[in-house]
Amino acid sequence: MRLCVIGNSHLAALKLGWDALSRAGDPAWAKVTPVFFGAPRDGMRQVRLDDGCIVPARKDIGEQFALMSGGQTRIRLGDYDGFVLVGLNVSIKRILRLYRTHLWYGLADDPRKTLLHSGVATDFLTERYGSTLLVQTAALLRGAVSAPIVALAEPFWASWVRAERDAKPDYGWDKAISAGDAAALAGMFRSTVTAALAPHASFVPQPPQTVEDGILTAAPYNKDASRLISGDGGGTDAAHMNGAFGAALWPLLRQALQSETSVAAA
Amino acid sequence: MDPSATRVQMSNRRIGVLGGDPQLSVAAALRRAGLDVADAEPPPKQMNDAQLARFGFAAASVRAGRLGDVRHLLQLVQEATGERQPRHWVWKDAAGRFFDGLRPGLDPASADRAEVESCRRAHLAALGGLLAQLDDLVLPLCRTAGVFDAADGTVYPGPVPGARLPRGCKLVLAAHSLADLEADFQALHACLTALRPGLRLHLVVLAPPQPAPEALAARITLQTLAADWAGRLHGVRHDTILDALIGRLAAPDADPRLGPLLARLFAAEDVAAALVDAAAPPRTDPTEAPATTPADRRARREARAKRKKRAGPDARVVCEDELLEAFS
Repeated sequence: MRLCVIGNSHLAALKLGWDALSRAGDPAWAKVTPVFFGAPRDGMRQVRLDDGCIVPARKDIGEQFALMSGGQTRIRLGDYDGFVLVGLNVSIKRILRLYRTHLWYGLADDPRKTLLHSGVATDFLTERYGSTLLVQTAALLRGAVSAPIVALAEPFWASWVRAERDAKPDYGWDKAISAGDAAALAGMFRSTVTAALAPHASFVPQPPQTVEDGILTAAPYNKDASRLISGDGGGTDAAHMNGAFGAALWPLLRQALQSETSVAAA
Repeated sequence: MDPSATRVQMSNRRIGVLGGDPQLSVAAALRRAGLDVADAEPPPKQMNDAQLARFGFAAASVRAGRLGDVRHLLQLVQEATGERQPRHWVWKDAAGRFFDGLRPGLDPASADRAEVESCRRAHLAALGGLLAQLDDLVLPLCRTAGVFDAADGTVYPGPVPGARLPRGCKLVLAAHSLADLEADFQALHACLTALRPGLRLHLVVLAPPQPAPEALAARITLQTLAADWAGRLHGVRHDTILDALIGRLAAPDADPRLGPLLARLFAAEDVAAALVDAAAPPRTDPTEAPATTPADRRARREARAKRKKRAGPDARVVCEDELLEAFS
């Protein structure tokens, strides 16, 4: 199975995880061949669909495609049996920003915040996630291929940010967890991203074993991410995860792709 | 009168509007005029215009629907102050889901009745908090008849197609008598001024969307009554010039010059006199930010640098290099 994996910086963990699986020599993965295409930040916005190919509109994006894919400067969609989209600006931070000012039914009461009907919150967030690069890229692909498309969000930030919130951008993790709302926020994240992607792709939530306190990633999956991914070794990258995280994702991706394939066949 | 002085005066006052919907929003017209209208139930940032309209955000200072009927306004204020409790306000749609019959359509129907009750409690708490802080409350009026529950006299915006009413609830359409309108407004005025002594009430009588004879008659009735109330009751204001200007400014193709004019007239003690003043060339608005100097800009740069330093080392959200690292 040839897999086309498209994403932003969060692709790195998936690549490191794949390298680990390959080294382990598990025969279950022998028939899977992933090809990675990535561009940092919102670089994937700088592409267009042209004659069955995703073509970068900027030279530097094409160069990054070539570096990661082994020389291909464009994505020939017909070459692949399935597609995996990674990150592309979908994260729970969007919900945490809303949670600063608003609540919805089921969350802990806070008179300083405006209460929304849960249906209003769901509608609003689904629309916002629908405007992200992840969903837009899924829509672009779905317009051109019938193969399965599955999507991953950016991982929850590493659990250590909760304790060091004074020195880091504080998205309100600690407040949400302390109020007992983390599980509900994670549930809202999952349902609204799933809904936003639904016309085009399936959402694969973060593996449960990697999640801590509902909305954070357990420390072992962030260990050495600064050294392995960011390259600074300072241990200050809370947003990106390591190869162990990537390795935990692959079984879920395979399951989702198989499920999508069987649905399509039926 | 110095128009700029009235701007300053209004900028220190907290203005609210009770009642409005996307088709007829006095709050939107006043905001377009540059007035800072309070919003006690603000929408999430980045909510798009279609959603704002669908869920009734930003059309008034609370999400209560159009209102426009004195008795309905009185009932809502009394509910917010705990003086009144409607009996049959939780309705069901055709699928058996619950919704707020007093403001249908603003929230989706819910499978959980407790959610509807919780949303109404939060709505009333927001209204109560707002009323306790306002200096100026605008009451748009447009109805002299209403739909009532015959069981307890509760006013509803109207019947909802397909809705299943609670047992015992029977809706009837009835026009208010002049005596009813008078009594209801007296009670509303007393209730509001007890809650917030010194509150100024601005009555705005809106033109009916459809020029049906009954609607025109209602408008004339309300304008006559509003003028009378403004003449008799302390803190009540009404002027037909403002009625007309607000109505024009609420239209999607409103002349943008109407906004500043409306702001001046709204703040004025004497609208007719201010109208004459408004014809004079405008003076510099003292509320405008002064022109920046190099020293100002330098001070802002230094303050920004200080803030950045205080923030400490940010968590890295690096995206440029990590891909290359992983693939090298």
